[in-house]
Amino acid sequence: MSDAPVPARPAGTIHDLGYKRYGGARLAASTRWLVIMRQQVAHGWKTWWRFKAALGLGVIVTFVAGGVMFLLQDRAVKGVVLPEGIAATLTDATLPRAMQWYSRVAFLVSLTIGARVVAGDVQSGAFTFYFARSVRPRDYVLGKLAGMCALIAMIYVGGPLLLAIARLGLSDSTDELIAILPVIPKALAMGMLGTLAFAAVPLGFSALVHNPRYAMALWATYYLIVGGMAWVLSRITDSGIAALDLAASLDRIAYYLFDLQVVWGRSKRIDPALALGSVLAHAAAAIALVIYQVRRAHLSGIGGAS
Amino acid sequence: MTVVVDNCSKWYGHVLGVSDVSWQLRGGIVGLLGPNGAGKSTLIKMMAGLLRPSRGSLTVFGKSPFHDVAVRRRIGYAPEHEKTWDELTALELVTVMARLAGVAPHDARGAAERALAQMGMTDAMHRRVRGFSKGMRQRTKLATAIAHDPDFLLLDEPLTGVDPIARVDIVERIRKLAAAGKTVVVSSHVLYEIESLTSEIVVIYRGQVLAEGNVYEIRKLIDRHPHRIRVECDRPRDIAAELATADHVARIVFERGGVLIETRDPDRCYDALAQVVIDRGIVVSALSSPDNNLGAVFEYLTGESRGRA
Repeated sequence: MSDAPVPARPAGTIHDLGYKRYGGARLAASTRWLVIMRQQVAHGWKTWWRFKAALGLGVIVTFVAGGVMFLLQDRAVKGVVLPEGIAATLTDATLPRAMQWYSRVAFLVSLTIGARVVAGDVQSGAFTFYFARSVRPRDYVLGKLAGMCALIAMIYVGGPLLLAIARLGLSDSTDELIAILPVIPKALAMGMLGTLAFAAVPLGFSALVHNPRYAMALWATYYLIVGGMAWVLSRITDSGIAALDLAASLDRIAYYLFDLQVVWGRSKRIDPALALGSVLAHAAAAIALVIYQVRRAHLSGIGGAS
Repeated sequence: MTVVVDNCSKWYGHVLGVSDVSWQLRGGIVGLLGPNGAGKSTLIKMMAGLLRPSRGSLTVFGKSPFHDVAVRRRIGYAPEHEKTWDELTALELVTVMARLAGVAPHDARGAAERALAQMGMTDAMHRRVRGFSKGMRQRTKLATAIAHDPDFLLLDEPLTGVDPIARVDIVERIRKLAAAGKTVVVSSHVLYEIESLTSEIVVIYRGQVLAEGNVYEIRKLIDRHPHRIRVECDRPRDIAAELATADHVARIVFERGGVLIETRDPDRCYDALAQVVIDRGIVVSALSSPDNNLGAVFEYLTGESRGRA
C-alpha cells in the first residue's frame, strides 16, 4: 500500500452530504453505562408481556395489600370483627406478608427480561454493537445490572414504599406515626435487597449459556426447584441449607426486619443472618460470573468473531 | 497514517484467521477483497477493536483500538451480520448507537436523523427494522456506522444481497463519505462491487495479503482465468452452434437442460449470448456463473504461482 497514490484530501471544498459534521459534545466513556441502563429499561418497557404486565400485577398487589391494611385499621372492623390490638398487629404484618407477592412478581420480570440479558446479546450479536463503540466490559455489566435494578425496583421498592407510606397515613395519632416511622427505611432496605437479588442472580444465569431460552429455564429451575429441594434437605438434615431458597430467604429477612413474630412457610427454617448472607452471596456470585463471562467473551471475540 | 498493521496474526484456537499481515493505510477508500473465509472480517474486526491480535500489533490513529476506548469513537463499523435489535425503529436503533459512541443525549436523535437521511432512509426511519428489506437493513447499518461522525469507516460486505439499484445508490453514498475526508475500508468477495467503489484494493487469501495495489492490474490477472457461464434454456444446441466459432470461447459442454460455456472474455461472451437469445427467440430459464466468486479465481492464481515456482 505504501506505493499507492494517496487520494487528495479536500481543500476548501464543501461536499453536499445532506448533513453537517457533528460538532456537539462527546461524552466520556465512563458515562456509557447510563446509556446501556436506559436501553435496558426501554427494552423492558417495549412490549406488554416483558414488564408492563408484571408492573400491573405489582400495582394490584399494592392495592390489595393497601386495602387489607385499610380494612384492618378501620375502627368499625376493629370494633366488630377483631379485638383491639390484634388489628393493629395484622395491619403492621400486611407489608412484610406482601413482600412474598412482590417476590413472585419480581421473579416474573427476572424471567422475562433478566435471565435473557447476556445470552440474548450474545445470540443477537449485540456485543458487536457495544464493543465496536467506546464501551468497556465493565460499562456493559454495570449498565445491564443498573437497568435490571431500575426495572425490578419499580415493583420491589416502589410497592413496599407505597405500602409503608399508606401505613403511616393510617396512624391514629402523631405518637403512633412517630413510633412506626422506621417502616419507611425498613421498606426501602428490604426493597433494595430484593431488587439486588432479582436483578443480579438471573443476570448471572443469563451469562452461563448462550441461548436465552436455556438461561430462562436454568434460572426458573434454580429458583423454583432447587430452592424447594434445599428446603426439603434442610428438614432432613436439620441444617441451614434452606437459605439457598432465595424466595424463603427474602421472606425471612422481611419478617425479621418488620419484627414479625409469627413466621410462615419455608422461611421458618432459616436464620435471618443466614438468609441475608445467602442473598448477598447469591448476588455477589452472580455479578462476579457476569463480569468474568463478559470479559472472557470480549477477550476471545465472541460476538465479534464470526 | 490511519492504520498500521505490523506482522499481525490472529488465531481462533487452532484455526488461523489472519497470518503475519503487514499493511499500512493512509486514507481514501480501500477495498478488502477475498473469498469467503479468507480473513477479511477478522482483519476488519481487529481494526474495529473487536478482536485482539494474537501476535503483532495493529494501531488506528496511533492507538490500539482493542485497548483504547477513545480511539473507537473515531471508528465507524458496519458488521457483516444481519442481526440488529429488530424491534426498534431505524431512528431508535441509530440513536442508541450514536449514544453508545459518545454523542450527547440531546444531540443523538438529530445525529441519527442526519445519518439516516444521508443513507436515504428518511421516509422509513420510524418503521421497525424487523420489516426492512435487505437493502434497507444495509442502509440502516451504514447509518449506525456514521451517526457519530467517525473519521474511519469499516464496512464489512455492505453490498451483499442488495439489489442493483440500491447498490448503485449505496456505492455513491460511500464515495461521498470518502470525498468528505473519511477513510473507508470496504470488504467484499465480489470484485465488481469493489471496482465500482475504488481502484485501491488489498487481496486477502487464506489469512495473508496475496496482492495489493491497483484493481485493474489484478483484474488483468483474473481475466486470464477462463470464466464459466451456465445457461439453462430450451435449445442449448442453438446457443452452442452460434458461439462455437467465437474466438473468446474456449470450450462448450452440454449439460442436462443447458450448456456450459468457458470463455476468456466474459464481457464479450455475455454480449454474444444476449444477441443469440434475442435473435433466435430462445427461452432462458437460468443464467449463472460457477466462477462468480473469487475463491475459484484465487485457487487459479495461487495454483499458477505454485506452477511457476
